[in-house]
Amino acid sequence: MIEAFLEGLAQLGQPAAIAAIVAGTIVGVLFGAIPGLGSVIAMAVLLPFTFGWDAYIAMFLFAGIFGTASTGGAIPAILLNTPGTIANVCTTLDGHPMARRGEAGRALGLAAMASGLGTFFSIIVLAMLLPAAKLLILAFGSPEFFWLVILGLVAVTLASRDNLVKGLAAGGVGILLSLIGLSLVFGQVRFALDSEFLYDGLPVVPLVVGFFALSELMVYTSRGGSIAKVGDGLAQPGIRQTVGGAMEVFRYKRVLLRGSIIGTVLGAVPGVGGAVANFLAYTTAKQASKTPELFGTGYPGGIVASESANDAKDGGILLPTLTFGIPGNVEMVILMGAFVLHGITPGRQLLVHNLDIVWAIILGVIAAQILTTIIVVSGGGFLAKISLIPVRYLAPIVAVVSFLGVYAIRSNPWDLLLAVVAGCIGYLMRRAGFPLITFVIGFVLGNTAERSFVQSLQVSEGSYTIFFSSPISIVIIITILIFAGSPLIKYWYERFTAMRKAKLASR
Amino acid sequence: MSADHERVRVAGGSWRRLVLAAALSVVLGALIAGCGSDEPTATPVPAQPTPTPVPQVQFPEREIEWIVGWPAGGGFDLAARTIGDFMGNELGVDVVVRNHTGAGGRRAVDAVRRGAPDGYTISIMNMPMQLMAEKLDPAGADFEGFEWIGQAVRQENIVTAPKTASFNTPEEVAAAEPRICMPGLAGHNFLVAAVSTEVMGIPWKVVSGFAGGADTRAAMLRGECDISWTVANPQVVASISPEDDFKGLWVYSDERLDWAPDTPTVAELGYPELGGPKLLNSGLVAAPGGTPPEIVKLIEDSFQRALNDPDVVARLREGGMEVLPMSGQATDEAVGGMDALLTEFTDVVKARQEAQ
Repeated sequence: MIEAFLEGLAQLGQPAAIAAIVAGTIVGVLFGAIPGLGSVIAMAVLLPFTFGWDAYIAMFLFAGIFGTASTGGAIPAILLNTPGTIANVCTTLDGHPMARRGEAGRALGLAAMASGLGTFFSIIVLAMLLPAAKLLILAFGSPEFFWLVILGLVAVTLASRDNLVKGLAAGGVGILLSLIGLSLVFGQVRFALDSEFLYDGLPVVPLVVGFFALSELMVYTSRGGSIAKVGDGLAQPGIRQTVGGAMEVFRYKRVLLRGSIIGTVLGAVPGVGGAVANFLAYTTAKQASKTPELFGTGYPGGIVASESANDAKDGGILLPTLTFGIPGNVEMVILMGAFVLHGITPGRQLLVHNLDIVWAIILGVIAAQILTTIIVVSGGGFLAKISLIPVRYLAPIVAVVSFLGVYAIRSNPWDLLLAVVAGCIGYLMRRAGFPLITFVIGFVLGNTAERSFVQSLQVSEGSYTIFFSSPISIVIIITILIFAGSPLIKYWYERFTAMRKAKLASR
Repeated sequence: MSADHERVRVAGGSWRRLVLAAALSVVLGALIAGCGSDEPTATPVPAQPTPTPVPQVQFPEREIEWIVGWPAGGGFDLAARTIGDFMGNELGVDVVVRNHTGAGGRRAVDAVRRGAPDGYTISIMNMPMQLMAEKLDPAGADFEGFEWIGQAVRQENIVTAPKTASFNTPEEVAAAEPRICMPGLAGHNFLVAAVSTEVMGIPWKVVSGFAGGADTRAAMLRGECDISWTVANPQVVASISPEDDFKGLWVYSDERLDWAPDTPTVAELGYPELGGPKLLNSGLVAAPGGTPPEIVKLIEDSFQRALNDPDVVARLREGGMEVLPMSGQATDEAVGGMDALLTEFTDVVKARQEAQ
């Protein structure tokens, strides 16, 4: 173990390795920051180029990309209210209001530092858990997975507590739309209206880009001016503000720790991914906070929760990939493709025969994250100036980049039209006060919920007891009940204390 | 989420700017769509009525597009890029891989069916699966008239189960009535399983919707399902090694495979009709029907030389794919064999798909 660690460390010192990490980090942050693009595209495009490279160098490059994209994704989330990757959705909630107050630099500092610390936490946990990984993966079957998705959906509902009915409606429509297209559990194409475009269902990227980016551009263009309203007495974005924001993270130690734990644990469950981790961390932080009303108004703790969780998932997600050959998301599928390309067999043999590669990836992720944090903190002041550019210049550029991202994925012109339509619907939803986020999470989780539900019943050959037969299921169900019941419990508690106070006063 | 953030007020004068923004978006979309249109913009090469006895074609004069119906980073994508690189160097133009993903790879089939027959569009198709997809669709197309260039890559099929499973032969499997692990009720593995269970008399009991092979193997270890039909990628090969948890029950190739010497072929077990290239997962390359024969020959020759290049072969093998060069003529015949088998089993596959 120590030998392999030292071997990995020695490899990290090579000039080529440093170059690979720097290149990976820059590509990762850049692709993460462009809505629609992401680490998946960056890795897929670069994969063939790494053929013939030293395996270590290729791993450093990929570690740099997938470890940093979600930090990059925080940049447009804060500046443009458009999550760069789907795991940055909750960063928009507090990051963007801060940017509009002229505190974009502070928000970027917070995000960069929370991301960095989240990654550290999860990587340390990963290193410690490597030997026990198999138990974890075997423990999560279809029924456990089903409950986990339900937990995610419950968290969504809670997040829209300001307007529960509109939140539920948006989430429900999201779930319905997610059922369009070929269902792998049933082998049938549903609701596709005989259209080839709808055969695979509505593609998520054009939808998200339309909903968040284009609708936001419409809002801005209709308002004019610049994103941040910098007037009298408002802070000017600058390096000092960014560094201040980065240091501020340490004032939210509990939020940070909780976000990191949620990110790591959910990251380790294949298929759940950063979006759910991001969401659960944010809602949990809000639930646990003494000042939940501040969330969503530009509260630093909200950014810390969101960004620590979406970066902590990187350590978690490596666990099933490296130890068991089960890729938790598409990035990991490509990473495994890279293993194969470089003659490394993924699966349990990896830990036996290629422990040095495992360490190289772990160290690569850490090095890339340090670099990213430095880049965003030192460059945050500069980036934050974007929020001062008049919208009439900014909007066309963002629109073009968004369209390029949408088109790059599968070169389908109809995807562009879908993005435009989604943008218009998103704009109307904003005007009518429907939360876009519950819609998107419903859309992402809807068919996963259906799949794991049907799968469980196929496994049990029709018996519903399978949903309640494992301790993990029971624990998740109890968590769901606590989550769902928390507003009620809080209400009762407040009434109880109010009554006691009244009694005391009357004596 | 704060109320003022969500509720956007549009003042009267701002509507014009809003409309402008929307219009801008649409125009931009149309512009980008126009640039990336599938329709070839250059005029197709007409049959040149030159009086010279030997028809001389000037080909290629610009980049060749290679359509892949699957995302970048996958096996067929790697094959197209690797072989395309070699061909590009030989022919002196770029061979550009375009990932037209969606509709289960059908956009790659459409590219050949609708593309201009000028040699500047070729496409790799996932067979026999895509042939089946067209057969299952009432409005589906046939593959008649395609100019087959050859077979780029191929993957073997293997049936695996946990080492602890009590069954080995098809008869034992039929008696044990195991739950079949299935990533999806569409796609290559489903097709092979549907046809095999019918021929072998194995009851159709599936657990479906797993996210790929690794997820399927984990489900088998958890005891959620018991047997799996799969293409033999390196992970599957590793999983049936002595130190791992799985065993191979049978393979579909004509002869036993190097990496699974103890696993019998379907022919050995008494089902020769299932063996050979018919059910193997093949990446077959074609140009649109009607492409001039001398251009097809130029492309085919370069393609075949690529598959005999040690460097190309090494790359593809490392990606977990077999390279078995097959001429355009032989590929055409192989597709005919697939077509005959699938025609016989279309109803079975349809019934299996709808059994859920």
